[in-house]
Amino acid sequence: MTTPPMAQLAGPAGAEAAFRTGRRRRAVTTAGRVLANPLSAIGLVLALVLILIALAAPLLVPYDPLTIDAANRLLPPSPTHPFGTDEAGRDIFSRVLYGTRPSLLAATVILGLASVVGTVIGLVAGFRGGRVDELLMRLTDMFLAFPALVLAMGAAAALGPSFFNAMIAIAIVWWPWYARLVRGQVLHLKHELFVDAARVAGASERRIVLRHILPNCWTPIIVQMSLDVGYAILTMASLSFIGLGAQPPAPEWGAMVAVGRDYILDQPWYVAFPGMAIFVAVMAFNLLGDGLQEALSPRWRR
Amino acid sequence: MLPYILRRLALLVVVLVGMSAITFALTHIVPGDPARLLAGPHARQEQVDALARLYGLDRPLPEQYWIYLTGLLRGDLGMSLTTRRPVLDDLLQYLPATAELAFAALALTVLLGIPLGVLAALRHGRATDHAVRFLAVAGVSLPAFWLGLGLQIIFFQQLSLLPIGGRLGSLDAPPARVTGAYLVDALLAADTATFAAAAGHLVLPAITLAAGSLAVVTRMMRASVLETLDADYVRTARAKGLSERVVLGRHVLKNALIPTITVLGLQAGTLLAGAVLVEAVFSWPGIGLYTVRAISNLDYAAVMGVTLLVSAIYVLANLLVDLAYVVLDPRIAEQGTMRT
Repeated sequence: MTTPPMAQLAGPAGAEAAFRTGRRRRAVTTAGRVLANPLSAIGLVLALVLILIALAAPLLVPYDPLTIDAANRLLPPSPTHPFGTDEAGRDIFSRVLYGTRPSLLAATVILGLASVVGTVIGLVAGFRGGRVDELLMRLTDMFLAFPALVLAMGAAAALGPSFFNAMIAIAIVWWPWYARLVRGQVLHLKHELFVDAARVAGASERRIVLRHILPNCWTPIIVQMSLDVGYAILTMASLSFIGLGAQPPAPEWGAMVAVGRDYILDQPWYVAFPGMAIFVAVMAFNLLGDGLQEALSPRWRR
Repeated sequence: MLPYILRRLALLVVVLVGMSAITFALTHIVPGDPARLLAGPHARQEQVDALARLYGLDRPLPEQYWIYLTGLLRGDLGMSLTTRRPVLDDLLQYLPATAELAFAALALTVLLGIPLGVLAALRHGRATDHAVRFLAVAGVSLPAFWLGLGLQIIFFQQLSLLPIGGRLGSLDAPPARVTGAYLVDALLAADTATFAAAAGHLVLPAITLAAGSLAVVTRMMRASVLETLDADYVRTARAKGLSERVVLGRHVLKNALIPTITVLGLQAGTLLAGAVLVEAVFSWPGIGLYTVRAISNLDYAAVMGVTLLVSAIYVLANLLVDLAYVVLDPRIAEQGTMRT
C-alpha cells in the first residue's frame, strides 16, 4: 500500500490510488460510526429486514394478497388474520408484507433514474462551464422553484394514473437535486491536483471525467440517495393515496390506506397497518441515511 | 436594496413564464381527451367537437400556449372545466381556506420547532436531546394522510372532542366574508361562537400539516444552535464575562436563526404541497381539494393555475427569506453575496 508521502512522488496514478485507499479506509470507519449510533443501527437493521421481506414475500405470506374471500370481509385482527381482512376478505397482513415490493421498487427506480440523469447533467454543466452550465443550471433552478409533490402530481395526472407513470413523474421532479450536487462536486474536483496531473499527462476530457472526476462523486451521491430513499417511498405512497399511483386492489400501502379510509370509523385497523408500514419503512431509511450523513460529515473530526 | 428587490421580482416573472411552459407541456402530453370527458360518455361527436372549439382544445399546441400566455398577462387563467368558472375566481375563492390552514401550521412550526431545537441543543447528548431527535425523525417519516386519519380516529371517534373535517359544522353559518379566513372574519364580526367553531375545525388539520415542517425546523434549529455555540464570537462573549442569558439571546439565537429561516422559506412550498393531502383527508375546501378534483377531471387550466399560483407563492416566500437574511446579518448585504 502506498503511503501518502510516496503518493506525492508517484504522479497522478499514485496520488489517486492513495485518494482511493483513503476512501476505502474511510468506508470501514464510516460503517463503524453508523453502527455506533443506536438510532442508525436500528435503521440499518430495519432496512435490511424490509429488503428481506420484499425478496421473500411469497414465502412469508399466509394468504395470497389478491384472493377474494367474500365470507370473511372486514374481520378484525385475529390469530388467523393478524392484521384483519379488507372489504373483499383479502388478508391485510399478507398485503402489507407484499407492499414492501412496490415501495422499494419505486424508491430504486425513482432514485436510479434521478441520480443518473442528474449526474450526467451535473457532470456536463460543471465540467463544460460557461453557457452550457448557465443554461442547464437555470433549467435546474426552474424545476427546484416548484414544490416537488405538486409538480409530481401534475406530471402523474398528465401521464395518467398508474404505478409506473407515478414513478416516472416523481423521477422527473427529482433529478435537479442530483444535478446541483454533482455540479458542485465537479467544480470542487476540477482543481484537484490529480485532475491537473491527468490533464498534463494528456488524458482526454472524456477520460478525465469518467475515470478521475466521476469516481470521486460517488460518496455525496450515495449519501444523498440514502437520505432520499425514505422520502421517495413517502412520495410514492402519497401519490397512490390520492389515486395517482398504484391502483386498488394492488397491494400498495398508499392505495390500501386510500380504500381503508372509507372504513375508518368501524374498521380502523384497515388504515392502521398499511400506514404503519409506510411509517416504519420511511423511518428506517431516514435513520440510516441520517447516520450515514452524520458519519461522513466533517463535524466528526472535531 | 431596492434594485435587488426589483431584480428579484423581474426574475419571478421569468420563473413564472418558465413554469407555465413546463406545466403546459406536462399537462398537454396527456393521452386523454378532456372535451370527451367534459361532454360525457354518451355525447355525440358533434357535441364533443363543439366543446373542444369552445375551450380552444382543437387548436395546435403552440397556439394554445400562446393564447394561454397572453391571457395570463391580462390575469386570465382560462376556464375551469370542472367548475365552469374562470380559474382565477376559483383560486381566489379557495385560497383563503388553504392560507388559513397553512398559516396555522406555520405558526405551530415556529412556536414549537424553534424552542424544541434550542432545548435539544442546550441538552446536547442527554435524554431530552435524544427524545427530540427521535421525534424529529418520526415527524418527517409520518405520512401526513395517515397521521390525519389517526387523529380523526382518536379525537373524533374515541374522544368526541374535535370535528372530523370541514371548516365549520353543518349548522354553523360562515362569517361575513372579508378576508375569507374564517378565524379573521369571525373576529372582525366579533362572533365568538363562530370563531370557536372555526378554531375547533382547524386544530387537527393544522397539526397534521405542521408535523413534517415542525420536524425539519426542530432539526435545523438544533444543528445550527450547536454550530453557533462553538463559534469564536460566542467564546469571546463568554470570555468577556457576559451572562449566559445575554450570550444565548444576543449571540447564539440570533445567528442560529439564519439557517432556520431559510428552511422556513422552503417549508412554504412543503406546506402548500402537503395541504393537498391534508385537505383531502379533512375535506378542507381549499386549493388542495380543488387540485385533486381538477387532476382527476383532466382540468388543464385549473391544474396549471394552481401550479403557477403555488410556484409564485414559493418564489415570493424565498424572496422574503433572503430579505430577512439581510436584516439578521448585515454582512450579507455588504459582501453583495445575496443569492439570486
